[in-house]
Amino acid sequence: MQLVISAFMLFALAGCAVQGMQDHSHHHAGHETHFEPHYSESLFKVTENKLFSVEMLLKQGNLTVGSNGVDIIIHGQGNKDVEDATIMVTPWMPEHGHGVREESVVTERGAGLYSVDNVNLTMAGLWELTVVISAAGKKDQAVFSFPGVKLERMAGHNGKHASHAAHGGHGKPRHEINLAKSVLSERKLFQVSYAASPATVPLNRIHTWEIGLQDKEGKPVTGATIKVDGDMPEHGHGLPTKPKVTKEKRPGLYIIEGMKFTMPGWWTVTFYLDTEQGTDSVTFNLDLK
Amino acid sequence: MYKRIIPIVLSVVLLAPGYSFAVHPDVHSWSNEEIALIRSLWLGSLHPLPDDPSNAYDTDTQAIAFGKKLFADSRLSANGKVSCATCHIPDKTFTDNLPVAHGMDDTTRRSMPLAGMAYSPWLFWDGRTDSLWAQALGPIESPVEHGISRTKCVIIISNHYQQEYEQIFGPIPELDKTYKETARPAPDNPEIQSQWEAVSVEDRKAITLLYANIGKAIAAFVRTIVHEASPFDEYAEALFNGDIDRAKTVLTADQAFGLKLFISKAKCINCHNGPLFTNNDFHNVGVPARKGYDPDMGRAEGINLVQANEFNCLGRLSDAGPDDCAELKYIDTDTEKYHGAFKTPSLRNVADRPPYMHAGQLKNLHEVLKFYQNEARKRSAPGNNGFGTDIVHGDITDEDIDYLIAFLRTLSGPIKSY
Repeated sequence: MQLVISAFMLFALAGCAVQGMQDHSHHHAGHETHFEPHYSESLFKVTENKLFSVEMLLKQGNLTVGSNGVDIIIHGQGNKDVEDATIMVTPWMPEHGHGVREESVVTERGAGLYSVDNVNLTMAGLWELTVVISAAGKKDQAVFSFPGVKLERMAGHNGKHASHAAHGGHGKPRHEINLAKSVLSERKLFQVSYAASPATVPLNRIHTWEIGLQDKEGKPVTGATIKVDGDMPEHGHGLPTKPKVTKEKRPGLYIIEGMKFTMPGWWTVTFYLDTEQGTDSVTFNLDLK
Repeated sequence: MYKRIIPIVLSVVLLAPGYSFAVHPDVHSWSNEEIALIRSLWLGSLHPLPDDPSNAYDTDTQAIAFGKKLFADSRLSANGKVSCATCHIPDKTFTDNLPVAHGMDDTTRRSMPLAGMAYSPWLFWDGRTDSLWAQALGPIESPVEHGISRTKCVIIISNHYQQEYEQIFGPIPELDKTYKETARPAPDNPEIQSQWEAVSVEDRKAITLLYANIGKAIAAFVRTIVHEASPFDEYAEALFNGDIDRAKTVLTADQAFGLKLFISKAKCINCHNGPLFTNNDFHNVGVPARKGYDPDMGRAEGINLVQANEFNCLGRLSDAGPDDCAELKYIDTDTEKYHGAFKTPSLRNVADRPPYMHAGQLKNLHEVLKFYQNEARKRSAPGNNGFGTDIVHGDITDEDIDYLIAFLRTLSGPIKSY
């Protein structure tokens, strides 16, 4: 089934790419700039008023529910790279009439390349990414459509900085959720582990977790302030409770009460860690039966 | 051109009405993953009846017997005609067949069935109480349900159940004859409220304690109302034993196919999960308000009400210890998220108890499934203030609806109580 889904995704994306290319050839008329993509596997669109072209590369090879990264190459008049542009990438679910709360983070990499992270899609279905470009007093936009965005069970779940993605870094989709109960935090400051009680995370029953927090040397990290957040990426809703850290049972071992899951399927639980050694976060994946 | 035609022809063949017949010969064979899901729904997977830490009497046999009498006693009402059993009729799976409950007058919501309720952390459609005993006390003082007061309860218990009560809970308070029988806390009714304030602080405490105790006795009885095995459970057991021949005698191919849809494409199991076919959580399915009724805020209000409820798990009258009451301590207080959300009802015996939804808006199961097929896909429901919906069922066909209903009928089994 996983394979079928990913095959479908690749097909859908290939479809997008072809669509993009066709758009481009249609707009090639009169004395308008002839825009050309750099990469054959990219998604390519000319903006609505034909001021820019937008070439999009999906860092993970496709868009999935959760946090995504894309690289964008902007060309302007004369098919030249556009630098110092302000880029906004906004996800929208046209069939549901909503977007997402979190804003995407855009980093300019030079030579017309902009790296966009935290493109957070909250549920499966049809998504549009609107790319708004403002450069040298000109503003224009292009809308990319992604039908059938699905849960792609990615290992980890952390938005990696694939700075070379534009240069052929076509991430291979992985098909397993990383269900590890001990993982490195996002900024790699801490090794974090959890143990649920009962050991098999139950459905529909409120229960307790223990969080073990260690630094890179394996020493317990004490006195941390920990906030808990849960999400069901395929459904776009959070936990049915507000769990809290109630005590540090022994150095580096924190008790979290009020954990509860009321649907089978893929859940993520994120802990935001505030410690003397710095702030970081860590996300665990659960596949609840 | 051929490339385009072939897939279309294939899909016509696959999606034609005959499709299900092609599926049926194998419908009784299940993958390991499906068996695991069926096991999760099987009544045999239900954990033992929980003991409510906020109710010290809920396993006390005397309290259970006393609670059973109170449950059926219509003297506990303003017109002498309304008991708990008026709306929770034992022969009708402990609910009634009305769109909205009717006690002294019409209420705004459907009577909830009671079987297996001891497993639910939240009671009522909006979860405005967190125990069976706190739940039982709500209707007694509601003007449209039993319509009496806690003060009147002291008089009734003293007149009719003195010995039984005192054996379990200790002495009944003797009340000042000047107290009004209708005295109860009533912030929305100044006259009744002033009657209550005329009662001495000490007596108010004593009256409220007795009131809580009769709630605890009723709860002890309600806790014993449980489901017994249905044809679905027998089918599941046959599958676990590898006895396909027996399984085929319990569920028809149509019913088994409905089960397959239930746990897969139709996504019913997302919320109707576990052996009671409910996650006891709150969801806005986008069902419009009952005709002529205001939009109902559901859980968004229930969140505030349960935290303010004097009979909640953390309250003075609760018997819970400091480590109990996790559900209330860690309640999700995001009221915006729960606008128009109502508790997922159990689907056990669901075919026996039309009408459906929180205000009986839908007459039969077909209407419910049609609703999920058509209406629940919309973001907002007319008459529901544009509250979002968070339920998505798969793309179910009319034929699927028939199979799903066939399956839902296999969830009816006996209901047992003390």
